[in-house]
Amino acid sequence: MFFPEDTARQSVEDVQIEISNCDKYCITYDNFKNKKFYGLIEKPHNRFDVNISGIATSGIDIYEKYTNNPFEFSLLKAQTELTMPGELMTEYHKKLELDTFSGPYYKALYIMNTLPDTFKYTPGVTEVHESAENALALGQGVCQDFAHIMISLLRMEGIPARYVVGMMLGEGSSHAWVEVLCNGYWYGFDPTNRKLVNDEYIRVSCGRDSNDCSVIKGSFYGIVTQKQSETVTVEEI
Amino acid sequence: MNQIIKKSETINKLLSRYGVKFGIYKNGTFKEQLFPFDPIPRVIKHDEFLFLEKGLTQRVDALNCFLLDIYSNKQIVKDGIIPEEFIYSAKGFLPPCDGVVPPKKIYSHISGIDLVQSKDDNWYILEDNLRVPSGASYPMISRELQRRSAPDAFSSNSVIDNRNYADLLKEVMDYVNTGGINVILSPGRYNAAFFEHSYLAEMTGAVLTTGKDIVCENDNLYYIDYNGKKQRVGAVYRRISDEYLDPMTFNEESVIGIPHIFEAYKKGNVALLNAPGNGIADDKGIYYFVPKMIKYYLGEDAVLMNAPTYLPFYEEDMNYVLSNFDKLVIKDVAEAGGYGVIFGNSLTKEKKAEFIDLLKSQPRRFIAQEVIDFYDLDILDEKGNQVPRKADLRAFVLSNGKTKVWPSGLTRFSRDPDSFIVNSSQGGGFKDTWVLSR
Amino acid sequence: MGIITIDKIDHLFWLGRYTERVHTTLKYFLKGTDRMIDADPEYYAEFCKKIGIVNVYGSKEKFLQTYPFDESDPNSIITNLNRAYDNAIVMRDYIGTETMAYIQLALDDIKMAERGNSQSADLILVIDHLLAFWGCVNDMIDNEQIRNIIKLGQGIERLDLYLSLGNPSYEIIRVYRRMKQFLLKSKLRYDENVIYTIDNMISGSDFNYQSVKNLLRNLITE
Repeated sequence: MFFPEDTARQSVEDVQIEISNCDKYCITYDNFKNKKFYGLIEKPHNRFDVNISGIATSGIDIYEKYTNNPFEFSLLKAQTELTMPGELMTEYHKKLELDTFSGPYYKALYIMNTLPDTFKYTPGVTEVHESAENALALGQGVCQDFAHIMISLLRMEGIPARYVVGMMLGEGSSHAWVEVLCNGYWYGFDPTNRKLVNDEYIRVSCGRDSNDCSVIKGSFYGIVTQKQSETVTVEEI
Repeated sequence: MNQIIKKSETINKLLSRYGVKFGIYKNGTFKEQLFPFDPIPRVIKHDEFLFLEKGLTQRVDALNCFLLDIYSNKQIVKDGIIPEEFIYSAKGFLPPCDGVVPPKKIYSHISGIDLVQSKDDNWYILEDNLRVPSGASYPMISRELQRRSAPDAFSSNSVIDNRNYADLLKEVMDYVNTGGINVILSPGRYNAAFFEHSYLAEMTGAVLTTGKDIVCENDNLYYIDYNGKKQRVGAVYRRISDEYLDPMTFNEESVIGIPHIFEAYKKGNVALLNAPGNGIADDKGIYYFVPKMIKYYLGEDAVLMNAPTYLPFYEEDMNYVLSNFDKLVIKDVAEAGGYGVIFGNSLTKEKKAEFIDLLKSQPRRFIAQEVIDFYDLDILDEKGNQVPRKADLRAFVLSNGKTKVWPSGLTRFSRDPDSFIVNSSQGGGFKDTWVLSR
Repeated sequence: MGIITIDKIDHLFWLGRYTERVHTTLKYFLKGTDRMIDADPEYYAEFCKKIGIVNVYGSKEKFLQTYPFDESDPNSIITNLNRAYDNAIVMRDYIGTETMAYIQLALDDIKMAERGNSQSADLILVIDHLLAFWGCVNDMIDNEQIRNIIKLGQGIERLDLYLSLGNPSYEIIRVYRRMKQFLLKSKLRYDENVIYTIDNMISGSDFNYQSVKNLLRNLITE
């Protein structure tokens, strides 16, 4: 499970992790420097709860500096299975005529501002890890789909872009947006809300697409039906 | 050699007795069948083996250098030898492996390099298999049974004994072992190569497991016995692909892997043979660059040639492919096991036009190769006549600080006279490979 | 080497049970076919009842063709042999290729018998190879616990079948005592009350077979 880490934009303190039936866990980092913990419960159980709380100071800086890591640079420019454009994405990209804008920032801004005109926010229509192409075909989806479509378009322009999962002020579930590499800095764009990422946003994880960023992953032995629920609460202090 | 042919029935009987089988899924059900064995061995003369040994060692060394480089500095990309398109958008490049250095810096411990011999007596590399190459157990056990059935064939021919494969494999596991037991991780009973997994476990003394008995705790891997006692695992010879190895790092849907095994590996607490991420080096697109890698990392010219290969990605090559389409064989880089292979001259006019459109729209997805005029090997057909068939050779190269070529190999042949496809999944059989000691 | 996990115990135990099931039911089948020649052609119905399987056969001919050879019949001899094979193949590294070969040979025998024209005579080879298999288990498996778990499975299966078939009580007692030795040596967890109760029951002159059978089901608690 991922949890927020200090970045140039945010600092995190007083993190409390409570896991039911388990007191041992390990902390580790993935290649995108996302912080996560993992563990194992050997005893049979029929419920599993994780409760994480902490205090985050956000908006310390408006962007994160690019660390000149060629791995990140080239990798985040390459399309993935979920962002790979098909016919519809290619057509949509052509229609946007992005070459009339100079530089990644303005291209990203334009995509963010126009995407909600063609793509509607409707929960429950798209799959858990839906591809950008399929989502566009449906014409509606959730924040994940907005982000995938935007990333796909940027990568078609040869611009490195990453998928970000995080939290927004208020109560609900986790949110997803896009960070774009512009002149050596990662700028945050939220195409779902047509909004530049500001101090209302707390980052949890980032990666090539939603597959890299699932906040929680797990597996178990046993034949049962499972139900999963998630609550996110962010309050100002 | 005649001594062996005469005893072919006895050998087949023994192969069946010891269950030398491979599994195959037909119409959704799993079936085990005997791996058809042909008694006429492929014979490699001593000098020829020395030549192959030199070329294979060099190739595997360069591929190991490449893997170390590509998951760290990526100097070969920075220096412009390999375009980055061939790395980052390749399915085989696994981002989680970036920056992870395996124990003793070995990525490909067991490499299966497929070669063919042409009519003009040259050897060509067909492909490298650096992930989970299978097949060594078949020549190994068949040799045992041939020696039992036709001892005189071996007393008169100076054939190097190949039954030490398990010892070589054990040496490799021990060499990279981080302190604990050796295990062989198999996807299970219904895997095509389960015979091999269980046989190699028996012969190396490693524990055979499907992963259910293994847990990762505090970044270490443990094998749990029936009393709940935990024993540390130091090396995992895994026969499941990267994708399914760890559901927490790779394919979340996997039920055959070990959750968090990658964390233990990342921290250097367990060796994985072969290392995850090797798929980038045996990618069909990267194949083209292996001779360049040999030059780049070792400063040597490649001893063994690639089959002449063109990358439609480069304009010059695309033009060549388009104007010579009918004499080339085109391969989809994403496919394996003999699938996704198209012979230019086999397509109808419409299909060809269709395919060329696809090629033009996705040039990175394909490679084109000259068709090699295979040197055919004789096999014994049902009536007992010797007939020529297409065959290749999978050489096994083991790396444990020193790189060794197993003096044998798996010779696979096509039973169909018109086919080039030798894979067992498509009806191919196997022969023993004799390397002569003088 | 020789680390035994719960899964492996399970395979070893059932390897013992299934090989024994094939062995005893086959012997009983051969006796039964003799009886069906002239004395009692309808005997197969009673046969099914005794070994506790549903009589789906309908005729003597169908029974003789199906019960030993039909892989789609869940109660057939070959199905039980296939199950033994399934448990053996995953334990190759513990029991060894040489030992495993005898299960393979028994499978070949049974298929050969089906194609041949003297089935009862040919089926004896299956018994030969099963005996060779147990000989190999004794002779070639160094790990005592592995041997004993296989034999425990074998012992429990034999006891269960003998109880079903109504073998004489002195045979039951003998098989039970042997099984008990393997139980102790296998180091598996078991319910001591079950042993205590059975010990008491069989010390009397007359005991209820069905009660012993029921008790046995709860013996192993692993």
